[in-house]
Amino acid sequence: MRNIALIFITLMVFCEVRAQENGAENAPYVTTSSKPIPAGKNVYGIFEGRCACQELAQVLKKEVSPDCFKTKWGLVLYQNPDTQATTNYVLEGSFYRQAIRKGTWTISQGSQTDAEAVVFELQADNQQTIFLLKGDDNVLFFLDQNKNILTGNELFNYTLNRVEKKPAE
Amino acid sequence: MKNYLKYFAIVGILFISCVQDSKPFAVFVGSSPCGNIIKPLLGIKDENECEFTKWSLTLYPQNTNAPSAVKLVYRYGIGKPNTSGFVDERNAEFAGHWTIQKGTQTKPEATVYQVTLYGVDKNLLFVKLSDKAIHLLDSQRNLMIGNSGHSYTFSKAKP
Repeated sequence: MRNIALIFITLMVFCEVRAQENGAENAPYVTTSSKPIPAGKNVYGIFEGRCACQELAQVLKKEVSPDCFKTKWGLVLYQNPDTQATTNYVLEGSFYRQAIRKGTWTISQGSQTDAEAVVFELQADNQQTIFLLKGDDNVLFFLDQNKNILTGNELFNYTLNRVEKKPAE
Repeated sequence: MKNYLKYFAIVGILFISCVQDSKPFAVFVGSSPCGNIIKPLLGIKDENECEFTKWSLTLYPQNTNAPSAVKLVYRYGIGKPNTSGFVDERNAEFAGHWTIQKGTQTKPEATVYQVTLYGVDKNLLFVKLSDKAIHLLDSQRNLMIGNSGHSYTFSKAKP
């Protein structure tokens, strides 16, 4: 009888956990990328998003056609696995299809409207620094060169979301 | 239950018709995933019913004599390939009111708009990112996490 009760309780707990996994109100999505994505303690995070085009092109001084209305981004931020200090990044996206953008990233404080804001600065040789506002651990926002948040439209904005690796099959 | 829904729908329509003459404080638009936070609002049970949803959130000015009105319109469905529309567009409209609060999970001083929708047991919280952008929060006041296609950031509609 005791064993039956234990099995029943175990099943109930398992079902509850599964329900939370599947029905969580807010959790990172699994990446849709088919490419292998890095994992490990040296990865701070992987962020993806589709953003509007024209305003971002202007900020990053990229020439785009007037028809360009969306851009696609995948960002991997690396860290020192022991100290968690920022190290390198890899940015793949619409403006960097020919040459994937790579460099180092640092953390600074202060946006145009919030002196306490945490800003990620992505540097690369001979290119505009990219400023990303840390909304929280899971959401980043592209900023312009004056560290203002960019304004999107009905279809796209300028947000990158943390994604997770596909679970091993 | 049906009578209650009818009552809230009628009150909502009357409420909207009363405030529609006033100029909106702001209209925010954007497209988001059909995440678990909004599925109950739209009555979505099947994952294949909704790939993303377009939002139009109209906030009417803060008023000292009456609750400040809100109109929220969703258009949603499965995306039509190579377009920004849907294969079989569905829509839903809600009325309610909004208040200004403070504090997200990580920023106690942040300005938060709480939107209360009539007829559904749901409040929506949005953190103000700038004068032109807001972002949906979860019930713990964390930023809602979007996917690689859509986010929960909404931008002020251009006039």
